[in-house]
Amino acid sequence: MSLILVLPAIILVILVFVFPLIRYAWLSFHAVSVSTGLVMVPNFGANWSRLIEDQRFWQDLMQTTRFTAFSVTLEIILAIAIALLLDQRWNGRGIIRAITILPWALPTTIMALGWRWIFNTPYGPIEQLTQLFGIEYLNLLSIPKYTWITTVIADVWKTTPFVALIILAGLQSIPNDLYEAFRLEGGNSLQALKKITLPLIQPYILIALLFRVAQAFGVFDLIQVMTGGGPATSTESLALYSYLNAMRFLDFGYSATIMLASFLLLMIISITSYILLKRLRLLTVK
Amino acid sequence: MKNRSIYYIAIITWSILPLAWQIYTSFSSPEALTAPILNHNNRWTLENYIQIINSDPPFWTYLANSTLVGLLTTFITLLVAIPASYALTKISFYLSSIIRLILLGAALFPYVLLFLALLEFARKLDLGNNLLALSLPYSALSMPLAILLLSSSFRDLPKDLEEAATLEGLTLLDRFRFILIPLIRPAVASTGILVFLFTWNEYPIALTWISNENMLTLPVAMARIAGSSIYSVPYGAYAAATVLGSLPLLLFVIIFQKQIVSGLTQGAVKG
Amino acid sequence: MTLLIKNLGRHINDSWIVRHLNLEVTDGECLALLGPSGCGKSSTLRLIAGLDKPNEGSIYLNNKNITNTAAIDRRIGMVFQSYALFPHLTVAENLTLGMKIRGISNLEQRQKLRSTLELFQIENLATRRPSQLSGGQKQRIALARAILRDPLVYLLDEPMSNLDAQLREQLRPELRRIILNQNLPVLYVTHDQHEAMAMSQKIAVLKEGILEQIGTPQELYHEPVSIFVATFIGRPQINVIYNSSKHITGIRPENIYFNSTGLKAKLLHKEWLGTNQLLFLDTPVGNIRITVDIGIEIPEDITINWDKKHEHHFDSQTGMRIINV
Repeated sequence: MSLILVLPAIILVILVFVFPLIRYAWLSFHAVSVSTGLVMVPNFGANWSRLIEDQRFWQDLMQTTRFTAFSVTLEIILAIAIALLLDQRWNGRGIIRAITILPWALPTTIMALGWRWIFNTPYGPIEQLTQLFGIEYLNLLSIPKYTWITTVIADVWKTTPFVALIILAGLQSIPNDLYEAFRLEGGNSLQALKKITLPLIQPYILIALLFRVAQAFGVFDLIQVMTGGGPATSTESLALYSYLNAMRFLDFGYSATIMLASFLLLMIISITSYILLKRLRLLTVK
Repeated sequence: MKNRSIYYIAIITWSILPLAWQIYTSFSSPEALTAPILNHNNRWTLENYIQIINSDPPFWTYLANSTLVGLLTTFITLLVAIPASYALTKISFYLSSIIRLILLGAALFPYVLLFLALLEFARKLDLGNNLLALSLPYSALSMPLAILLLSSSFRDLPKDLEEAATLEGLTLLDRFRFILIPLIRPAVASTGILVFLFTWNEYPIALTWISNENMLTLPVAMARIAGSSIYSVPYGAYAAATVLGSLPLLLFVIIFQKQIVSGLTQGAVKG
Repeated sequence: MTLLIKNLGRHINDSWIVRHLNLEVTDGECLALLGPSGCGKSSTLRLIAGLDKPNEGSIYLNNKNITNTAAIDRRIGMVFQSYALFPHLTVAENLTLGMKIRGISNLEQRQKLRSTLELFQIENLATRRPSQLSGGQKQRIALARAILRDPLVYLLDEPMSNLDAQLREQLRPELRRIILNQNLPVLYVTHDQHEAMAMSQKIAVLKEGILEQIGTPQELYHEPVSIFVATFIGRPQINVIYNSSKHITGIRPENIYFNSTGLKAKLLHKEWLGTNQLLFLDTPVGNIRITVDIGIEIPEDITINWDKKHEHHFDSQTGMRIINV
């Protein structure tokens, strides 16, 4: 009886999450593109050897990793700070909460273009400010060396509130008498932060980290709308590259290969970082 | 308290400033945007809004489309997830732990990587350009988080209550209707709200499934306005669209902020 | 109606929670299931209610085998330890929900609700929610709900264990008046021997899922079949003297008296019990508790004794009573 109730959900989840990966594995050993007339033709690993020699893939992998590392690190640090601030009882906390979750709740595409406008040269507010100070235009959106930083800023803006909320939940799960007992033992508040707060919110940080790394590694909406991957593919992410392969170059076999590779890389990153954290004894909880 | 308020102001400013700039832009005339420091006779204008509202198809079509898909998805998700979550508390602990672990993995998965296979589904089953069909992948993608949230609140219910209801003669359906769902209503509400938000904001699947102008959801429509000309986006009009597109969500967040927060934090804690 | 249980057993994995259980409860009879926590008494109730499935044995209600009847169809009036009142419903809604589901007409629902509220003198609580009720009020509502179920048997699972001692004493007569007047079989689970004696004509003592002894309170007190029952029934607890590796003697504190001959003892400390006092003595056979009147003078050199007929003898290996010593 119980199994009958779970079954529809399980089937849906398998259909949407498991089946695609199997399908990608199958597709990745076939050529399905305009040149084959969109018919599946086995090509015996040609997609994979192409992937290994594909400069653009490796460049995108580096860029995606850079984006993930910088945005997630900044988000976690800022979120801990914000959560510590919000973990106080006072009137009006609800309003702050509503305001801080708004960036997270808004569709990414809406603000992606908003950010493009903010970093616009010469009319955006940033360049207006540089003009006021008599500095040259920064051209943030057209210099490949810098553009990725604007995508990190946009992502941090959008996602920090979400991470802060999770960490806040962790803070609020710490019973107050722990701090009182610690103070009676003679500890000051900085020590309390280090000895009580951080160890106890570690599971929450970990889950936020896990979730954010996975999501940032698959970044698509923000890049596609804000920079289109440019200038000169300097902000292109793996997800965007595979999207372009499917939708613009109509090479479905290769697109599937990139996606499967991204997924496998993500798995490797997650598992190795988990093991690394454990080795370094940074993880006290399971 | 005094020095702390500086930090609060910093947080609020950081969150609001980019939005405020959109509002400012939306009411500015093109001349004012290109040369903001100079004085203008016509700095402020409603022209951008008029342009958006009079566009074809009218802007509210996208709002209506997103709302429709959002509601349908929320309904389907809850319909499937509630019984499944309940059943998950009834099966053996070992099996349910495995299922929860799989669901957690699925909930963390960057679903954008699935778009190609989902697109194949749409082509095979002829679901492309069908607004309501979008709720199928959306429900399936929302399922892991929904089940994790709901099953943890089912698990927190005292077993006695359902047993007492059974002895009173309530069938499973009666128990859902009169006892179980009313008791987990907060979790149902926050789950439904999170699913609705996800659907409202979803981009890559809507982008690849829908091409018909009249069926676009809001995020895709916004991106289209942006993509229409990469180098000279009509920013004033776009900003007006941004503001109009954000308003329903702003209201939504203000009304449901408690449920959103509890949903997110429960998801983190129980997941 | 008679509740009849034959060789009932249930196990989880390899361990039996209840086994070889045989019980019979007739109309108007209240049987108490007594034992320490984990002895299987609540599990027994759950089996009878149909909330769990037995692995062996059968349950008969009024000569009908209900072992495989679904809980929903069993007509059981159960009071849970936690009361299990639906927190989102008012008292009136809590009481009428089952009747509504069972298709009882609105008019009849109202009449029954009113008369039950009157029976418990709780008319003023009808619109409250469980969170606004005191423990005693919740207990009454839970009982009222069980009565309105129109059951064939009552199962009360530690119905008073969440109340304070004073309230328990107040509620006992009310519970007796209302439940026993229904003239149906009643099973009363408790870990409190006082409550078992106060509420029921017969007590079944359970230990680790096995029925140890069933009988009237007097039988359990005077002829316990095992050292377990002997120590569980009667307060202050029976004295246990280990005579040899094979033999245990039990002697109740109230049967011991001061005497010129007998066991030499030294007073360790004493507890005042109101009408009498409890003395803790150090003797050559170990610590001994005795109860004596308040007024009695406690001599310097204590010598205690008891009558042979008050001794209980048990096998130290099996813990079972030895009839012929």
